[in-house]
This record gives sequence, C-alpha cells and structure tokens, in this order.
Amino acid sequence: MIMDVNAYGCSLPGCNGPMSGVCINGLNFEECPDVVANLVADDISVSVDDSPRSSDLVSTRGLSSLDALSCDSLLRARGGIVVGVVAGPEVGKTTMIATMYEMLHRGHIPDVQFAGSETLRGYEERCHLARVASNGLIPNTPRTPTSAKLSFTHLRLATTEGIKEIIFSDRSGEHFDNVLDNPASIVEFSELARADVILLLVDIEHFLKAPHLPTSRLRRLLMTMDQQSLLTRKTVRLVGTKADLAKSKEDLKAARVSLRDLASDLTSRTNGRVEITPLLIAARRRDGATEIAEGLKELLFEILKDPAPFAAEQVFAWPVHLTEMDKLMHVYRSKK
Amino acid sequence: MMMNQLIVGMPNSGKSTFIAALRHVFVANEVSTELELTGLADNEAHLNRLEDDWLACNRVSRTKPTTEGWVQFNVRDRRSGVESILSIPDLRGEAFEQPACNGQCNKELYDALIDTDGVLLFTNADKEDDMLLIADLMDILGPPELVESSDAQQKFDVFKPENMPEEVKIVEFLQVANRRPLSPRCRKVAVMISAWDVVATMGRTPDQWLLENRPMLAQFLITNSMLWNSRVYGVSAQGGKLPQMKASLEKVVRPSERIRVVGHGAQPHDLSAPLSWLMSGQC
Repeated sequence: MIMDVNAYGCSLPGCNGPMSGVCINGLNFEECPDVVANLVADDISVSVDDSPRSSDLVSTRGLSSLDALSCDSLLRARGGIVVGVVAGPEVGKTTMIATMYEMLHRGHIPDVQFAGSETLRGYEERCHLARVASNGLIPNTPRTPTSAKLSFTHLRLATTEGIKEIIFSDRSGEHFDNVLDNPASIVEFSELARADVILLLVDIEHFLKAPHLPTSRLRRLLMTMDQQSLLTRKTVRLVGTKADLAKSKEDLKAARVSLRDLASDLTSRTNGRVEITPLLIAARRRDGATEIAEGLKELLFEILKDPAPFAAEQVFAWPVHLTEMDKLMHVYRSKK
Repeated sequence: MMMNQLIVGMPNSGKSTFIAALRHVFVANEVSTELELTGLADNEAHLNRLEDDWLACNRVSRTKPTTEGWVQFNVRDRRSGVESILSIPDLRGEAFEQPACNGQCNKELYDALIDTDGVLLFTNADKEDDMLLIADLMDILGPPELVESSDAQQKFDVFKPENMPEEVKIVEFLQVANRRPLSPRCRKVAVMISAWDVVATMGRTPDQWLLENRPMLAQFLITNSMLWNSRVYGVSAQGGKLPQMKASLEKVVRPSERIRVVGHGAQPHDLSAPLSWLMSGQC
C-alpha cells in the first residue's frame, strides 16, 4: 500500500514530512522515526483527555500487516521464506495462519521458538475470535473481506539451524474465484511469483460431501499457475483443512485417502514437474484427538526446510570472434 | 556517572509500588542492600507521595497524566563504591501500550528507550490469563449450551487493540528498541514478576514461572539474547495483597521487611539488587 502522505506529518520543526516529499534527515519516510500520523480521535486507544499531542508521538512502525512494499523491504533487509496461500473463500486460510502463531508463541512446537514479529497486532486481530477475551461462545476467525488487498504477516523463528523469517500471504478467497474467470490475471498475484512455498488449501469437509466442484477448481487454479510458471522450483503442498470437523476415525481415513488421490491427480497434471504432496490439518482440536492443531507442526517443518539445491544446466558458447579476454578465459576453461 | 534505567510495564503491573518501596528501602536503610542512597534529589515530591501510600499500606495510586514524571535516585554500589544517578521514569502503563496498539510512542519515552542502559520490566503474576483460548475453556467446561450455532457465532466483542494480551504489548515495545532505522545493540533487562507472594507458594522459580506463564516473552528473550541480556526476579514490593492483608502488613515492625525479592542471589528484601545488576558492567 502506498503511504497516504496527507495522513502523516513530522515531529521535527521545519520538516513537513511525507506531505512535502522531502525528509530533512534524508531518510525514507517508511523508516524515519520522526514521521507521525495526523491523528484522528478514533485512532487513539487512550481516552481523549489523556491523549498526547501528535507532535509528541513517534511512529514505531509496528504494523497490523505488511503490504507488498513493506514486505519487499523486509525481505531485502533480512531475507525470508515466503509462503503463498491459495484458497477460495472460507476454506480456512486465516485460521491456519492464526493457529500457527498461537502454537508458536505458546511454545507448543518443539525445536522452534518465537523470536519476534513485525505484525503482532495483525496476528492478534486474527486470533481474537478464538480467545475468551472476545466473549465468544465458540472459536471463530474473522473473515478476510473481499475488499481487503493483498497483505502479509511475519514471524521470526529460532530453529536448530538458526533464525528464520517466515512471511505468509493473505488475500481474500474471492480473488482466487475471480482468477478462475480470468486466468491470465494471476500474474498480478505477486506473492505467488515470489513464494518459496505454495499451499493449495481445500476444505476437507466440503470436499468429502461434494468433491467435484473443489476438484475442478483446484485443477484450474493449478493449470493457471503452471501456465504462468508460478510453480517452478517451489515446494507445493495440498493442505486439507478443517480435519477437526471429522466426526469419526472412518471420516478421517476417508479424508486422507481422498486428499492423497487429489494430490496425485494434480501432480499428474503438471506432467510430474511439480510434486504435490498432501497434508491434513486441524487448526482446532478434533474430538478424541490427543494432539492440538494436528498437521500444523509438519506443515511448519516443511516450510522451514531448506529447498533442494537447484542444479542449473550450464549452457555456454564462445563468440565467433574471440577477444583477448575470451582467449585467456578459453585457456582457463579448457583446464577446468 | 549518569545511568538511565527504564521501568517498563503495562497498567497495574506494579511499577509505582516498586518505586515507592525502593524509596523506602533506600531512605530507611534497615535491610541489607547492594545499593545505598547517597543523598536526596532536588525534587522529591512525587517520591514522597508514593512512599506515604506505601507506608500506610494503601494501594499505591495509579500514575495519572498529572503525576507522571522522572524520579531520581543518587546511589552508591556498596561493593565497588561507584556512585551513580539513577534516572527512572514513572509513566502510566498506557504509554507502553501505544507501540503495539497504534504503532506510535511518546517521543520522550521513545528517546528514553533508545538511550537506556537497562530495563526493569514488570509483569503482574496476580492477573487473569488474557490469552486463554475458548477451545481450552471448552475442554474444561464442556461445549456451551447453544440455542442455535449461528447465534453463537455472532456473539462476540469486536477487537480492541488496548485489550491485546500483555505479553504482546511488551514484546512489541522491546522490538521498537532495535527496529530500523535504529542500530541494534545489546541491553540488559531484568524481568520483575510482581505480586510474587501469590506465586511463592507454588514452588516455582521466577524463570520457570516466566516460561510457563509468559511463554511468548520468555521465548523472545531467550532467542534474542544477543540483544537482551535478561534475568528474571520475583518481587513482592507491597508484601501481600491489599486490602486483604493490610492489617498484618501494618504490624511489621520494619516496613522494609514486608518486601520479598527472589532470584540471582538477591538478599530477601533487597529491591536494589536488580538495579545493581543493570548498572554493573557491559551487556
């Protein structure tokens, strides 16, 4: 998202901040600590009488979610694993991301520890309806509205191999529905182009009841992404969500078999170029299960796994007329 | 030598009670402490009010905008003889929530965080679990009796950032200290688990308690040990719960002995031990 320059000022005398287009400290406005929001009363959490003047406030750059530009900036500074989440409406994208956060910050995943996040408030918004503090009676997750633009959430994790940054994409499921009508428009889904891992989500409860429609949709989405080379050299997993709604062990077994068959079907549609592996997850606790958030640990380890090294085919040809440098290199290459 | 220490904590986490009790310990000089007071500061009005409340076994009043301010202690380390001026802000807890709630921070506090040599970070042990999941509650109480499930899905309070869990607000505040464009550097942080008298009977060490009850903060400090050199202390600055224990606390002959400090070899009533550690040497 582009900064609304009229919404920000500067606490330094003589600098008009983003509105003027020039920072007197010579900093990027995204980074300058003196940039302050021109506050609207509703934006302030403390009571009006106690609220400080906007000129007394400094932006601390903590965000609800990252837009594409902020995400790019973070990746350039720290690197990271981008996870592209592909799913239609109400399949469970937000619940999956929120539960991953809940598991991590509570220390429920062995060998992985929470080390920070640039989008803490965003995670908290997504987790709110599953918490007692919401005064809800049953756990829920806020729906990503159709109007919501592409956003990202960030987690910094300490693993046995060191610190790793993970960025999850989040966009409305309706956007993927629209792509089915205009397949070429998927090139505008920048998160998929940048993703290291792509998760194809399917609501396993609906899938078991009526498999044809979700199967067809996933096939077309996969074809669309494959045609635009969005799957090349990426880890792709087919994730069956809402396994917690399985009523019996037989249902769960059926879900696993169906998901495996669907994954094979999708793999075959890429002529085997992309191996799509299935995984069943339960973001909530399943009746009779001893484990909470089944499948999420495996999913996280898969995301954190270093990708297999890519063996690039080296194509080389000498120019017809060799320069002095080419001649030198020719000798060098011949020796190699 | 001027040392800037920052007292950090969300509303009602025990910051002002600590300052009040610390003032008394310094002035009374009746229990063994690592630091001693060398003299009064130029302005003692705020400290006087805090200590009066503490001595009367009244709940120390919440800090208000009109009573916010910096307090100063002129101290000497008894072992090394090094003298320092401790400058500590007594600010409302709301000031520390702002980075997490609306991505902003009071400029004076922000500057203090950047400049600080060490942080005393308060979290109250006598507080409800603000991260409890509905699913966990359902495991204990069973599923709710619903008229219709659609009704249940619609009944909830909207998200308010100020109601986010305490740990989240603390972690975000600490992250601000090393976020771009600032250059990351190591600081010391003493985590003070206040109302330790509530926990003391459970046989937990302060480190164990933090890991079990503030897992996000505990993990954050462990995994960012290059930036945050941390220690965890259990502290009961009041000595017991008020007003329930007021009568028994009033009977304590030497008020400094109401105080309890646990962790890292601190003497039982020495509130200055964490400060002494923050002041000692490099990170």
